[in-house]
Amino acid sequence: MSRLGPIFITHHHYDRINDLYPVILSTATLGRVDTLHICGPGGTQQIVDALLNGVYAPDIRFRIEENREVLRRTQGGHQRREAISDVAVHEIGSGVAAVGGGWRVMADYVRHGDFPDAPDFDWRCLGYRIEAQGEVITISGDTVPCPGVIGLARDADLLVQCCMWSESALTNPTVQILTESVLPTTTQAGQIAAEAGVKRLVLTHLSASINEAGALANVRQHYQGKVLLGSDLLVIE
Amino acid sequence: MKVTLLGTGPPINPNRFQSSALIEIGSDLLLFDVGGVLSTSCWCREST
Repeated sequence: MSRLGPIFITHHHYDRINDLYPVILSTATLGRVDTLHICGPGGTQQIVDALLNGVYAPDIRFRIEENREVLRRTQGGHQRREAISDVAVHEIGSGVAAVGGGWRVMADYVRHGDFPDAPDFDWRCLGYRIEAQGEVITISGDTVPCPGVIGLARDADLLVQCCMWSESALTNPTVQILTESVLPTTTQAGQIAAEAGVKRLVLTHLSASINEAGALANVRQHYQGKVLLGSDLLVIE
Repeated sequence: MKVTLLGTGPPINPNRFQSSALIEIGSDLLLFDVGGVLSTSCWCREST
């Protein structure tokens, strides 16, 4: 875990950043020596600042002082607690998000909420395209079908696509409205995969009401490639 | 590239962790989103 990074944030809903501080802390206490890079949409710096300099400032101070006390009494080595705050945030938009040894991550804006009556609300959501070793993997973020996610997933070997509801949930008028601009059904996930021409689709962000048979039937209305219903700790190679 | 879905749930689904995905490229570990309970599952993954 000390080798983890960069971290790419798709958007600032709490279910995407809940464990950001625990990960920053854990990588440091498990031996991270390098700066932890965090990429995300505008506003990511403010969140990281709030975590490190506000919410968890006493926690960080505690660990530094605790370490100092251990060092004073033992003259021995201990982890470098200052690494907790050794974090660099990169607020990104459409384009190259990060480049590493033999890999490149591209980002683009995706559609996860329209608020025409709230022009002061700067809400931005990203998807990512990872290119390495002659392969392409796309992380959709939260999005309904839109040019951003279609472009990121174009001819990808694997699309990890969010979806929230099965087609049967559309009998609920609220769900019907939300599938226009917030989160897709399993049918819309299949539509994205088909339009982008991906080789394999994995569904994620699944509500409890989604079952495998129904989801696959919905996806098959548009997409005939390989489909997997995601599960926690599933490994795909 | 190797993908591990650390979490595949929405904000509220008691049967799934919140969304996160880890991509391994050689020795690099790229993390996409940091949903709840991630640190635990990530730790479990590395420990097993």
